[in-house]
Amino acid sequence: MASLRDRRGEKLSRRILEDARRHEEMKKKAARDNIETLIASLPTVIGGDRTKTFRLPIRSLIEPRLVFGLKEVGAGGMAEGDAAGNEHMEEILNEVWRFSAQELLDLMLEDIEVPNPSEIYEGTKANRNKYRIRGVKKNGALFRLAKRETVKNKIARDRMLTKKGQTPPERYENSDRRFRYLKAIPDADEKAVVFLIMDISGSMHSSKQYIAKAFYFCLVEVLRRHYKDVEVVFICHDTVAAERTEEEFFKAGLAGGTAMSAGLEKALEIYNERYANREQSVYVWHATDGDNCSEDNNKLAGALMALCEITELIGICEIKPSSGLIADIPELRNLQKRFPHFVLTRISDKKEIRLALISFLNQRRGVAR
Amino acid sequence: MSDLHKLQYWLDRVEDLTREMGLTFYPQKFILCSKEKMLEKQVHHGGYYMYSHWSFGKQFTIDKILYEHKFFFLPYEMVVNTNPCEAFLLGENPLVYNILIAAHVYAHNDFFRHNKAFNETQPERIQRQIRRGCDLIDGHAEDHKIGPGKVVKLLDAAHAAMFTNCGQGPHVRRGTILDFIVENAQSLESWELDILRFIQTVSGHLMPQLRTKVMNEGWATFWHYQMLRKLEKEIRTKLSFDDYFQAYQLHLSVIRLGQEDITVLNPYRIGFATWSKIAETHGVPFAFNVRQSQTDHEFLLDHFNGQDFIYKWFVKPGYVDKILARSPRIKPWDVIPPNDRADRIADFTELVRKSVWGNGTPRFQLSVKYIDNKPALVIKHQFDGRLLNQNQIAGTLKLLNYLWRGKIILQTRKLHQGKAEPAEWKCFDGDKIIVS
Repeated sequence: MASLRDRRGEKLSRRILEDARRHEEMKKKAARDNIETLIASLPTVIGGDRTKTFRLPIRSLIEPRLVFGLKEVGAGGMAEGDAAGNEHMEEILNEVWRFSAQELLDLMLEDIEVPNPSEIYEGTKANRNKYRIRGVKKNGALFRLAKRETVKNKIARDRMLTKKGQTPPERYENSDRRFRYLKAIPDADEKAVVFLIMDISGSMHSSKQYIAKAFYFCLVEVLRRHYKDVEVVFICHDTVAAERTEEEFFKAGLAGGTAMSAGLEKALEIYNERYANREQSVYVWHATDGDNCSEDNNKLAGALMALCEITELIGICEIKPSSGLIADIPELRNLQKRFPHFVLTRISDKKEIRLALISFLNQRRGVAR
Repeated sequence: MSDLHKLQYWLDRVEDLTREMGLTFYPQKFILCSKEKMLEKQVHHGGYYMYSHWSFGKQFTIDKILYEHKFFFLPYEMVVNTNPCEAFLLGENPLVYNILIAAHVYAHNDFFRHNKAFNETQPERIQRQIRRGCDLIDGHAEDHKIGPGKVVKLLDAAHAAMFTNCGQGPHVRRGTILDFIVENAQSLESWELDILRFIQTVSGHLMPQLRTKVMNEGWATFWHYQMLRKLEKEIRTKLSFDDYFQAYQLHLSVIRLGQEDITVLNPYRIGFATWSKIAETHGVPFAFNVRQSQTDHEFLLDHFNGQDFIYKWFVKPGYVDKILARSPRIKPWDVIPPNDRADRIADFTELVRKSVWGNGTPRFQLSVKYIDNKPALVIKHQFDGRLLNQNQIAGTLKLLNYLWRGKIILQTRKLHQGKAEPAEWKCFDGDKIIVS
């Protein structure tokens, strides 16, 4: 007689869940290992669509076997083998390897401490809001004790008592105490404006632009995580600068020579025009390949100086510099000594994007180092 | 009567009938499972207790996603070759499906018990052996001298070697690269050998199922069809006509020709058609002999032939084009007049024979060659017009190198200016691969 058992209620075994989890971990690790390549090499991501997901070429998770390939060598030459035509299924399978740009960034920044803007003021963990003393009240936390008010109260009470002919006690009483209370005002950290300046001179060919764009993408993403409201101003320059829309910016072609001051001055101009009267953090990031003409250096230092005063963080990045390193310009070196939040970096390979980003963000004003 | 009682009734009924028909089998256990559990069983080679390895997790994730996208249909049943034989039924199956499936399961059970390929398997002991092996693996993974990392690496490598097709030779007992390595490798530690021997047991137990896939499934399909015909009246009276119709639909979907993007022909259909033909031409007793004495290779060679047979079952205008159009020698159906189909059928037969496991995986010959007084493993690929997947060769050799701990030479072919030229892949230590 056939035996029949009902085990419909049985759950998945711990083994398989553990295996699935381990696989997930390996997948993430594989993604981490070539994250820069992924970010830098995907124009869709660089184009700015953050919701887009894409397939990861993860090599390590293929279990290699000695099996037949797709191609068949017949008498008449090559032909697609039997295993062709599986694209649709593969498309679905890619779901397994799909990451969104957000997830990638998470992975990218996972084990590095990028200071959160809300934590950076003088190295303390302050709230996101700034507070202003609004007045005093009778109750409150002891650390907000308003000493002056409290002493005033005590003196007034003493006087009263002496008038009545009693000797006042030395002790302060609870009724003497006054406490400050605060009112939250929206912090500048709620808002940020980022000036992305890109050199589109003739020597900034596509591989350099790629790196620059990938970096921009990451930077804006990171800032978007920490600020409620991030505005991005895109500026392209060769010898003259112009503001561009995001789309134009990422599709920018190449032109003429380089005058770095043009881009920075344009940024300053836009700042004065639109943002000077508002409270916000200002970021400036300038990517170039360093071929600045030497007459421009003084102008450049001037523009930088002005920007250093207003920004939270300002960086100039040389991408695969060919000649004339900017870091060697004496004016800039002096500037760097004066303003620690002025950063000069160099990226020569897409692998360095991550490190550059981290070192850049670590230089922010007020970060405890 | 509750559903389970009804099911029990029908299972017993089917068992009696299959006995009447002449099938003999191990005692049968049926177990109802949930969908997810079925996915898990699927990953674990059909429902064995299995050790822990990330590749099972990977397969599980993939299957789950494919299932959710309706790309992968859960099997209605899974049978493992154990004694007593265990069969897992999908809990959501309608009752009438289970009648059909029970017949299917009994036929599988019969096949496991009688087919010659399964002679070497030990269905009574395998469950215990696997449990012991799992404990062994867990024990080594927890051992601080060995650790999980080494064990996983060993399993990765063993997986690459366990289902390879090497044929039997003087040095090999059962015919996988793993067998050869276990018998001839010299620098494996004893704990590694223990694990590898266990994996060998698993692969030895599972290989016969790969070797007889078409026969086995065909046999089961053939008998569930007989059962369906026999029970027609009973199902129509005790259940309803609709139920009978549903069961028949299920049978049809099992032996369907395939969808447009089919890559391998449906083994159920090939097997079913061939068994039907055998039973028609030689009678059922002869079919019982065949199920005992052949494996897929001989089975298809001997019985999968006959122009009318293949034309009737497979070569139909419109359908065949989609499969055969991938071969450059064949032009679309409209161009060729229908009476000129002889070479198409030959091609088709070839395609089917290639798609069974023994021919669908490359064959290798293994030998040991001494280079600088050290044994080197020489893997010779017997080229039959199909190239190996070039992207995976280097990776596999690295894995095999981890087991062999010595030089490995793979002799195969690669594409050079449109032709397959002899080539050698040499793996001298873990990282370097030289191609010449």
